[in-house]
Amino acid sequence: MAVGQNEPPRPGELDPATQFPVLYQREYANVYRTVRAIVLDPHEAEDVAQESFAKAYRARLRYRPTAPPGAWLHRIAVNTAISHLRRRRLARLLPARLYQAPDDRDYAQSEARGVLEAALAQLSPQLRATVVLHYFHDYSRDEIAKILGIPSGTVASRMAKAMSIMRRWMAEQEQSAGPVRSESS
Amino acid sequence: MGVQPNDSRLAEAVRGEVADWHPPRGPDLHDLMLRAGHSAWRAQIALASMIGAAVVAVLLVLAVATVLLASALPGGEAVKEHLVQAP
Repeated sequence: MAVGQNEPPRPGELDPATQFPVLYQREYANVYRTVRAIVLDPHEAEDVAQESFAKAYRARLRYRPTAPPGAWLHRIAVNTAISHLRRRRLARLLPARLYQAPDDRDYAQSEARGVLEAALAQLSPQLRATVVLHYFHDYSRDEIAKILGIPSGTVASRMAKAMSIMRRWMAEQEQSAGPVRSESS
Repeated sequence: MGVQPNDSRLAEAVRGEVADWHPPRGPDLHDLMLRAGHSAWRAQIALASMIGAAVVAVLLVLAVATVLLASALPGGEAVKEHLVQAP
């Protein structure tokens, strides 16, 4: 018997086994945002988010309240999104997709809107997931470690690396845009 | 190199950017159920199909049994002749 198999959900938390539609409505936007941070394209993100919820629905009876339902959903969503990106990268190797940029970051940049999104596109999918889980969803390092299935120390190093890459890139963009602004001032 | 934004400013920028991301269509429970393979009609169709197949099988067995029985009963020689008669 699995640990916590007969434990009820914590007070205030929805039970995926019996309240999945409510959980879906409540968490849809949050999961979408996490997925979008990983895949970057809004329409792909919605499709992948929906697939994530479908997986979660099929697995709802196996949910154990060792983590909040939101964290459980995010774990499924992150794995689904990263798998999606792997398949997309593989698809580009096919002859029909020769005109797509082979590097994932080039493709992501072509779809990026806004400086911040372009900065996020500089990161690997795993780093993007870490950034959005911490800085937007306010998950702690330990919670993110459980969601991503990595050690807590790795979460900390990923966060630091992500912020460093983004800071450096944004500074470079600001520097390259500098002469235009100085002319207009 | 330009001035790098500090972490708190960058974190604030991330929060603002991500908060502006809204799903183009929003939650669709019907689509979700289809993707999850949970169709309200699927079980009923499967049941109806199984029942129909079972009925056909029973009818087939009854027909064969009827023919065999009829040929074995008194006066069934006509049936036997009909069965063995070459077209």
